[in-house]
Amino acid sequence: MAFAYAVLMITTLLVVFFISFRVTEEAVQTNSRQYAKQLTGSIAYTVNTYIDSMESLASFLASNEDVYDYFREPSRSERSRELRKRIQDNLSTIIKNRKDVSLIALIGLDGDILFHDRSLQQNPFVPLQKQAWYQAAVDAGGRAVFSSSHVQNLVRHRYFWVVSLSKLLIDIHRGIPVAVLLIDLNYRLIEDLCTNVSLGKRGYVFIVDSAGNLVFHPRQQVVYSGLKREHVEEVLSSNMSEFEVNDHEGLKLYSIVALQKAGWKVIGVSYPEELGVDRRSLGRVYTAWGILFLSLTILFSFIISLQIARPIKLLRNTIKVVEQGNFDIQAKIERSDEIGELGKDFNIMVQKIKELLQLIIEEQQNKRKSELKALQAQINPHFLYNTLDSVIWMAEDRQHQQVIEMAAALAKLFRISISGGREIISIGEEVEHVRQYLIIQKMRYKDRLDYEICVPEDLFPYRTVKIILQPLVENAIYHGIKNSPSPGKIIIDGSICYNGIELKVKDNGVGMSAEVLARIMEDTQGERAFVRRGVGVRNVDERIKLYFGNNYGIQFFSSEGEGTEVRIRLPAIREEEE
Amino acid sequence: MRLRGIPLVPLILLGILIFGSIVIFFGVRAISPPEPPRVFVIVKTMNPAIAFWQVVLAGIRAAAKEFDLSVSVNGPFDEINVDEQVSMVEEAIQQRPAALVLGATDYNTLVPAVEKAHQQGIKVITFDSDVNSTLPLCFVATDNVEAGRKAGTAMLELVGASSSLIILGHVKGTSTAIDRERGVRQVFDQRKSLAIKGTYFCDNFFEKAYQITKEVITAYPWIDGIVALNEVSTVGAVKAIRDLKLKRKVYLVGFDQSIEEIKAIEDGILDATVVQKPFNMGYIALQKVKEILTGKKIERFIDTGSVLITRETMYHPENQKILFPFAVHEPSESRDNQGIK
Repeated sequence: MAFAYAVLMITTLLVVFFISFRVTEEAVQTNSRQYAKQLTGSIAYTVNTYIDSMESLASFLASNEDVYDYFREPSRSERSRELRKRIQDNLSTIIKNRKDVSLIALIGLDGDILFHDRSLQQNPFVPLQKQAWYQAAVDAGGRAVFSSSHVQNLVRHRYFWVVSLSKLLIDIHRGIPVAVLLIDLNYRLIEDLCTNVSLGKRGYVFIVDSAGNLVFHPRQQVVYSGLKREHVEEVLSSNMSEFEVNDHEGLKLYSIVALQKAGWKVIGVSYPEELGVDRRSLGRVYTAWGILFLSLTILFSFIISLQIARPIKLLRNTIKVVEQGNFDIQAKIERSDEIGELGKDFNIMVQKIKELLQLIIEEQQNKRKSELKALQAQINPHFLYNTLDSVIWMAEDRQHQQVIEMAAALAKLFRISISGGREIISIGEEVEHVRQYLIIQKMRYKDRLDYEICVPEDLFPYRTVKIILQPLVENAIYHGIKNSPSPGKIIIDGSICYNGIELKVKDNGVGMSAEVLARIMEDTQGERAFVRRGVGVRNVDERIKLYFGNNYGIQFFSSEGEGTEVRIRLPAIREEEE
Repeated sequence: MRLRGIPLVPLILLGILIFGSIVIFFGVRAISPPEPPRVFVIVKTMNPAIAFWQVVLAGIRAAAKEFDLSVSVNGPFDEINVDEQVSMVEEAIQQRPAALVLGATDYNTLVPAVEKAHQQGIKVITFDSDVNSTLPLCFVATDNVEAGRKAGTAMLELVGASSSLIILGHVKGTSTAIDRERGVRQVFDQRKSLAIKGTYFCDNFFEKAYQITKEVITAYPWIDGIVALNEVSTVGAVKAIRDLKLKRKVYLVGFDQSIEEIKAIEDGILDATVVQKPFNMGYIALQKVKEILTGKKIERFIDTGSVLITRETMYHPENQKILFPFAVHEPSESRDNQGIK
């Protein structure tokens, strides 16, 4: 059961974890796309701010009156040299504070060039008018223009990759253009802006100009060398803010932000599979939690099954004991749940069975009692036959007085033995019953039998099972006195002692050997020995025990030639106590 | 199997489960970033004054990052030190890298070292200059015979039908010099009127190239042109022609693209230069290493290409990209100091 329970729990857990893993993964993917877009946007914003600041610098330089004065002055004049020096000092101060500017130059439309550094010389092999940045500035008519990446060869022996800002300077007093301002930006700042981003492990940011030339790319040389193709055409032709490309490098997400002023586009390239979510680490976290929950589940399932299995086992063991016949046992389950209820019901059931069993035993006992009653009735015809036989003999001898006496005694005897169907009578009645019997027997045995009844009268109100003395007397006559050569005497005595009443039937007959006596004593509990000595004696003992319990009954004391004494022990229960 | 009423078997199973998961959980984390394969690159010269190899190294750095390779670079300071390079290869073999990338200073002398590396199971590829062996799995270089032909053709256009020329090589015995000279001669041999007066070697020293040029021109004043076969010999020849004030009198076609050469093109001393693609050479060499290590089948020879540059074409956008490698774009003053003083 624990196993099935665990399997159920594990399956549920796995399903739940798998589903939530997928959901999390999807959510993180969506978030990461959003993140890539936002990040590209913020970089574009910074780049735009940078462009703005460069334009401000250009405007600031363009507003310098010295510049216009200088180009107005005829060259080689004293004032011209002075102005040139002032402008150059101004420019070199600016450039010292700008690590991202590699060159500032003022190119007069007449060909006079002024660099920020006096030591720089013009490259004599470069035709100015053919330079793209120069042309663009002239065409733009006063607006600042940005070039794409190119090698700046304006200065002799200097060949730097730069992005150039150029602006035509117009002398507002005269209303004519006088010079072109050139500011060359190196890549330090743009590179810093674009490389300090976390678009996943392989993601990057690049910038293209409106013509599709790279302004900046972290792997510019790789692209320039034709070793890597960048999807520039797609970027230029796409009107969307993002698109996906699936090439040999895998699925890539291009987020595009256009910079209106410079005509550039900032593109964030990210790999959705690695963006933000590391599938493996996410999986690892889920696995760890899964294992933890799984372990707890298994642990709890075993604890729970133990909780159920243990009391059930206890109950089963109890049932086994009950099976073997012990109904006194009770299952010790002290719980308030279903198992506890089951245990209680079981205990009640065992109790019921026990009671039913008791009932059956009692019924059986009653049955035997009635059987015994029937036996009791059997005694009478035999005795009746003998007595009536004696009456016949006495009647033939015309001994009328004796016939009357005997018949009267017989009638008395039967009245008492019937005694209204009661089984329990008083000792007085019982004594009267045995007296009548002895009267009859005395008349039959004459001198050979003598008797004496000396039961004290204060015993008379006590209760006894009826017809217990008569069978013992009968036994004494038939086995003790009948076989004795000398006349016999029977004494019936009685006394009350601390734990009951004792009646004695003594005879002076032949008695019994120790061996016979021992057998009788031994068999008082049994049944065999009495068969020989007549059903009567056995009946007496059984009946006493049946009605008053095993503590009561009869006991034989005898030795050979000395006669026999039978003691009857009865409880001291008075008649009226019934 | 009961211990104080708690079943032992499930407890043991639980223990194994927890222990196993801990091992997996932390074990996977420890294993997950596999060590990048180690690659040794032995170049012909580490002299920072020689721009060509600096750009090659830039390509190597870019590729190492791109392909996740742990790269160690070494090489003699002077290209002529062939024995030093041999011992560097031997040292590299001791380190047992996954692969060895070699630009051989000598076509024959490096062969035993390459054989040894091959025996140790190290994947060997060559770049720029090959060795006389079939063992290298790949050779990444300019098609130097073709590049030689380009130089020869350019010179032919400059000097006309009947002229006398010399060839100024760098190191005798290195495959680049052998192949380029062959290419140049293929062009000139077609014209019976052209005479190649001789091939000289500067052993890749600027000073020696300068001296040879000066001496040859002095000895043979009728010389019309010089074909210099690499950066060092070209720069040496430029300096000699400038000092002798023979601009436009002695035509010069060179190789490669140091700043000195660019200046010389601009002021007209160097009439044309055959530009190789050193960045690509370094980059592709490592790309091929990666492909070999991941079990891909690759071609025996990769031509990285060459372009003839003249004063007229040097600032074309596509030529700018080759002439002025962006990868070493630090816009610092040090760029000016490259080349000879």
